[in-house]
Amino acid sequence: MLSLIIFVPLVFALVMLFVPKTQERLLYWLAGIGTLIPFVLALVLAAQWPTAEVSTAPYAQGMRFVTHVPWIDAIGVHYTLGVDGFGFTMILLSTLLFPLAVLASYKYIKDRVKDYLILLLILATGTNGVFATLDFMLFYVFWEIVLLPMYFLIGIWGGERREYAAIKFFLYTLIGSTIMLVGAIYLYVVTGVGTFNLLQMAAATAKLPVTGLTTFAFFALLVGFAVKVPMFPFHTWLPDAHVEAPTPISMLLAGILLKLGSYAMVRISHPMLPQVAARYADLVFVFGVIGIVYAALAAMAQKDFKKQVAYSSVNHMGFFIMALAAASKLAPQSPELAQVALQGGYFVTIAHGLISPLFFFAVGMFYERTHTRDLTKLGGMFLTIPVVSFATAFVAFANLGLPGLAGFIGEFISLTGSYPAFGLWVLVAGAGMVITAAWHLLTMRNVLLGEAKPEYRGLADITLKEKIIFAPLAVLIVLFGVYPRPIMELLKASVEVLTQVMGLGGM
Amino acid sequence: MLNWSQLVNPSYVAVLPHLIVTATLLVVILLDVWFKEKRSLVWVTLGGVVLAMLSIWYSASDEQIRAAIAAGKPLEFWGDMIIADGFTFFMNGVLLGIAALVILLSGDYVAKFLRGAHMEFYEIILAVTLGMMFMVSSRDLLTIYIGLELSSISSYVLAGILRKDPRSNEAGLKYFLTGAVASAVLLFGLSLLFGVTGTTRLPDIATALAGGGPVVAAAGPALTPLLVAGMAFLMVGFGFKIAAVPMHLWAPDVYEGAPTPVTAFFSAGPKGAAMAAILRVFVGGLGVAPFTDKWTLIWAVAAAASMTLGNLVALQQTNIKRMMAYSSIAQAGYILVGVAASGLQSAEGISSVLFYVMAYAVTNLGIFAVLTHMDQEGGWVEVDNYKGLAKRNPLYAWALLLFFVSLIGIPPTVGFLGKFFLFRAAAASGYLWLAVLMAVNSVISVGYYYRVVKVMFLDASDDPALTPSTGISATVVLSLVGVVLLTIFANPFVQWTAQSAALLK
Repeated sequence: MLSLIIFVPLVFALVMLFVPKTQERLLYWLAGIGTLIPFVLALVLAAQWPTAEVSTAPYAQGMRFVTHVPWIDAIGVHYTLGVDGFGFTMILLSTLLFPLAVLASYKYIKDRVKDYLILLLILATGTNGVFATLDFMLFYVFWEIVLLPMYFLIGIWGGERREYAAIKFFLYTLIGSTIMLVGAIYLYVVTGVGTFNLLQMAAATAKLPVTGLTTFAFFALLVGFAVKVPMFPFHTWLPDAHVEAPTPISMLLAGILLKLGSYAMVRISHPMLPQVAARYADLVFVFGVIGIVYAALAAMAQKDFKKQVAYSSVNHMGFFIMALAAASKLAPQSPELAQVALQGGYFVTIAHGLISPLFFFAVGMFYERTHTRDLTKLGGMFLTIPVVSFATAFVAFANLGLPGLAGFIGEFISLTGSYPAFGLWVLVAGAGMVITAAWHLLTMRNVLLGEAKPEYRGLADITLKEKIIFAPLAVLIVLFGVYPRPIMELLKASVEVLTQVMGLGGM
Repeated sequence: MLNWSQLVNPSYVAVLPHLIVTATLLVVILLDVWFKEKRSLVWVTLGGVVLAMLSIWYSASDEQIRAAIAAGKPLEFWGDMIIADGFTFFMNGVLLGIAALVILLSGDYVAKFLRGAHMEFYEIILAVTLGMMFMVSSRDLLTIYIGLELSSISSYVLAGILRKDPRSNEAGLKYFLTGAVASAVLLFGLSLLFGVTGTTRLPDIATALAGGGPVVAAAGPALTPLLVAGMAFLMVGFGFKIAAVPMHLWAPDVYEGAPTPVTAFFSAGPKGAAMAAILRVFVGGLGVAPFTDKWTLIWAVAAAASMTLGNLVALQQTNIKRMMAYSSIAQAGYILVGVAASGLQSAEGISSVLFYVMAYAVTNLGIFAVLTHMDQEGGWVEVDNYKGLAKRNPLYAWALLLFFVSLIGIPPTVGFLGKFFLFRAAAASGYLWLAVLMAVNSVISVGYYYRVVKVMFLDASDDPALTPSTGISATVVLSLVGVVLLTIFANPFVQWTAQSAALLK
């Protein structure tokens, strides 16, 4: 089943290779179906989730929907798939966002549609694969498969400085990932486990002493993932990539690609070397908090609407980093406290995965109509395009963390959960929240309120296509804002396991 | 019922691939005299090479040979000059595969530019291949050296085969002069080694160095000046063949000046064969403490220098053949990481070298197939000539992209697996710094591959579409299939390299 979720888009991409490029409608249909099938399959899995068998095999302890086939036996590499709460929530998110991105591309991407859609489908295979795999080699393969399509999607269909943004994105991620590979191979060699299975490796590596080399390995992994998250100071590719990428790609970039990093941290770097993570928790915390405050201030200073939203991604993901640092510090003493922090932190990534794509989409709606993202040129939009403006206001409130919407819950729990670990220092992050709220209000005043500008008179209001994209995400944001329990339940078992593992590391 | 295995003498079975290549060479020379239709003769050449490749499977499945390999004591034949082990079979397969692809991709080029020496080109390719095959099939310094000379001398001719092109002449002459010096140095090193140990057989050299031989016995296992000099000369000689820094200076000029199909051949064949010979000599002959520590470190330094310098200089190139020359210097550096590791962790090191040689050959020949086509179409050898290739010929552009990805070492390509095994070997042997340097270098190399990708995909061109050539498209597709399938179905190859590695010492 998981294999189907991963490879159905790839199969559709291969089929589309043989469709003539003038048949754009057919291509869109194929791409739409190719991304919808995984979503439907993911929903089926969600329905089966409570009754699904939980694996007890050492290679997939606590995972569901497990597949385990040898790949390169000689060095202990297997094609192992399986998901727990961390992975499955991400698969749901990713399979939901891809069809929406295909729809958002319709009539928006005009040039080389065939190439675009094929790359998009390959991207889907890569991201779904990362979230489902339990073998490091396989993980790395999918991790890198994401890279090339993304490079082209930004580099060919992006804005004016697209080439620069694309290669910057590519190089940052590649540097991170090659170093990460070296770190993982070092761990493989030094423990002599003879397998690249993530769980079996973690069982061996978590017992290693904190030495210079294990510290190197931890930071090799962490930096590889931190580039994707992005964690301060590895975030500088993100504003460029977001601003230059076309709207659907921005949605995917913020919604899913950043989550590859956060997921990898909870799946790989922290379970594998919890002892190092605990030792350096303060350092990671500092970077997380700097990210929160710095990104909030940077967002406030931008004149470009899209860049603001891009920086807000760095800001929100900072909460995840902070909570993760808190969890790794708390776990050895009190797993219960660590669970709170971790649950909050991971919820942030899920909420951000729903909100930020929508926000980018809202920016895109303005840009398509006014052809500018310059905040000084926009204004009075409530009077010209009221429904689009209302939608934007809604998502802005969600993004700034209004209670009752999904963004609030995660950040609030992260803050309270991190307090036992870092004391009043978490207030710095709280200040970041306030700054974020401030610039959202300022931006909304700029863009939405005020006199209607004559040059924007007569713009079309929201279209059916936009409503279809907007509705599911908005509903989920409200739903998880008032009733986060389904997600929390999904995460609970995985969080418990992870905090247990991290707790062992501190002893 | 006749039992073939009893009738056929295993000494012939062991050298069956060599015999087939020799026979093909002779047949082609003879037919060349009478046949006017040269292009059909090319098919005879290709057929011979493919037949030789298939015959490896026959040799390897011979009962006696198989039983001996399984027992850990591979058989040697012809006065212990030829050894039938997994290493031999693997490398012969790779080398013959390289020859086959080069013959396939060179068809149109040779017909267009080498009218006067049509079949000579293929005859020399066969001769070089034969030399390389002997080079990797022996545990005796003499056979290794003779094989190396056969392949080198033929290579000099190959580099200068465009007689009316001054650049090709220069390449030939330069290759010949520097190559001759390197061969002499190598031979001198071999003679010193012989002088100290009293034998040319590598296993005996190893025993002698460990303290069992007549000359060393007096001094005990120590680094005598003679041995140090011998080892150093060997390194210089082999280092020249693989174009490792600082013995790399010939490579860019020769790669640029030689006809493009020849460059394709040079970048994959002689390099791979020399790597294999290095493994045989150093792991099999000099793999004895305290020598191992010394040569491992020197190869590690050469690896670091080669990849860093190769990649940094490649960034500056505008001629794509020259760029690929520096890229191949960097790639040699990567492979040397495996060589260095093989001194300390021979199983991981050797199998990683073997796998990477194969991965590199498959990938690089695909690249050079496209380069050859661009060269023969319009003499396009500058990076700027590749503008808009994605529109002019999508197959070539996407294939080049995938090949570059493989050279950088990004999955899902065979180059990634190759790099991965090198990383593992380096980490296992304690050369973590080398692994990190290699990772950094992979990222540097993106810089110049990216330039080509950028002009191909992001720049527009007014030039008309490129008509594909059958031979070249076939090579590109074969390489593409190889690059992808060797990743997905890597397991048998990984096991094969691991088995080959186990018997070397």
